[in-house]
Amino acid sequence: MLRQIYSVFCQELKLDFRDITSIGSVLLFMVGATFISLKSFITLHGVGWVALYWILLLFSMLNLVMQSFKASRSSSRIAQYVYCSALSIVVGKWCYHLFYILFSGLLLFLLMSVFFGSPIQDFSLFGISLLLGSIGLCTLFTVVALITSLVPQAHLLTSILSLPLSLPYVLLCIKITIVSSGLIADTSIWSDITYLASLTLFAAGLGLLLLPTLWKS
Amino acid sequence: MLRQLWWKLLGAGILVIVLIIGLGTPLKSGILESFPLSAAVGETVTLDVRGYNTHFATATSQSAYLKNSEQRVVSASLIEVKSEQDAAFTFNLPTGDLASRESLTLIVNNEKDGSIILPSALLLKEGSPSNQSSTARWEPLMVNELHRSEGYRFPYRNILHETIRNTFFHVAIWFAMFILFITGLVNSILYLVRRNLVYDKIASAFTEVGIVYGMVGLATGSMWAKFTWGAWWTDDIKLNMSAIAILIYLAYLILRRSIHDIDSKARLSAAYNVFSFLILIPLIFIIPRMTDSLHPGNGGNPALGGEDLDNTLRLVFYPSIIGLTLLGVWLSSLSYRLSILKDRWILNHK
Repeated sequence: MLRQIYSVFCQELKLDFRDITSIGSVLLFMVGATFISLKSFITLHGVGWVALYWILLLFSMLNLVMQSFKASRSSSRIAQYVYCSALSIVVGKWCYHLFYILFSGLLLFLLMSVFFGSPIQDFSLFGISLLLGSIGLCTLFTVVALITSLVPQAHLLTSILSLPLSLPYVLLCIKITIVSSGLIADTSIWSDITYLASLTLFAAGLGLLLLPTLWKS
Repeated sequence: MLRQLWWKLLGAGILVIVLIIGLGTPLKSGILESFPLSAAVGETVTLDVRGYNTHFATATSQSAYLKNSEQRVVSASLIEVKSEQDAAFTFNLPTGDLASRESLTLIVNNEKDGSIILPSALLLKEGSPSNQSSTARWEPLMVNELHRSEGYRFPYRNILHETIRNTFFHVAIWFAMFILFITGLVNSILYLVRRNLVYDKIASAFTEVGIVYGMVGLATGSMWAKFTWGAWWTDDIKLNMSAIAILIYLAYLILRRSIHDIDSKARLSAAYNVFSFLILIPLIFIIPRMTDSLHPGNGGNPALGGEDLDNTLRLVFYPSIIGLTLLGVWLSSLSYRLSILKDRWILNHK
């Protein structure tokens, strides 16, 4: 089981490096979007910075997850489906997405710090919000992509379905990040963090529960 | 049973009665405003009071008190009634060692209106030494002198005024919406377990009507907000969370319409329905509890308790929930039958 997950993970990584377009498009999206915001906002501090950070990250995640499940329908990966169980494929993809999202989150942080300067003061809290937010959004998008992967216009539908669903996650993440930047002092921030974590567990459990009904192709 | 007529008529009848009683019953009397807003200790002050639904002129035994925080009162020395709604009460404010800047509650008491109160009617300030000769004293309040209002009337609440009737529509429609969504959820789960397309159709019918109810709930809430909080839309957490919830369910409708294969449509929309309902629970029940809100039930306001929902309101509020739910089930059954007819039409024309 673990070996299967690991092999799916490696497979995804290998495929993405062999065909550089998807990594390249996400990178290009980030640099381009940061530069456009630099040109349009000129300066950006505090709440605006945090909001922009999460919005950019949200859209690059959406891009990534949509591409990943679209690609999995192509015939080049039929072999994978024969040898691995549905669960390990999904968990492997989830791990890969998470890795990718954390990577892009850090990259975006670097980019925005270079262009705008960083307002973050409590880096451990920021790390927690990035980690939990990535896990939560990654889980959510994976489940939604699973639901829509069988539909003809999956691209459009994934964004329509997941944007309203991702709102509570993003709102909580933005709140925690704002606290980590020292703009608001909040003593009850740990309740927000546990709340974010439990929402993620919710989504993950439900995704596992629905997996057998959705995986039929 | 769903094909029978009696429960539809029952639902419609209950709603008609709710409309008649809910809009027709007068409010209890209350005090809209009084002037001046502050006075010094030891002063003689005349309060011009404007009442709401009051009977100052027809009532025979009129009395008025100002009550301090220690539950002691001073009664009005002179009462001048101008009309049913307007009266002037003159008080000799006592001196004495009161903490300065205390706000006093105005109580007006007569046998027609019962005892009506206006909290924080008068702010008591420290007076100049020349005023320190008043002979008035704070006395204990004689509770058995107070009248009770009689007859079936809704409570009068400051700020809410007549909009308290919106409880029957705005609050009840959210309850009804939840009943519809839960019915939809149960049918979605039943579909996932039994794979019978009938459940899918029922689930989608209930969810559609639930979305309509949610929109009506937002609209009535928006109107209520305009008249009590002063704006159509505020940054209140509950408003934003329910708007997000409605967006999530609108995505459900889009999902259903974008899939043409009947089986995968049923399977995916059932899965999404379960998922969105579970996201809905924290959105509506957990996050709003964690922050302050203008809604009752948050930030120290009592929800569905105390004067905000007394027994006179309950008598209309609970039937309203039942009536709206029955109406929702009726609408859902119409939507369900329409979808069956559509399927039959497609089969016949292929």
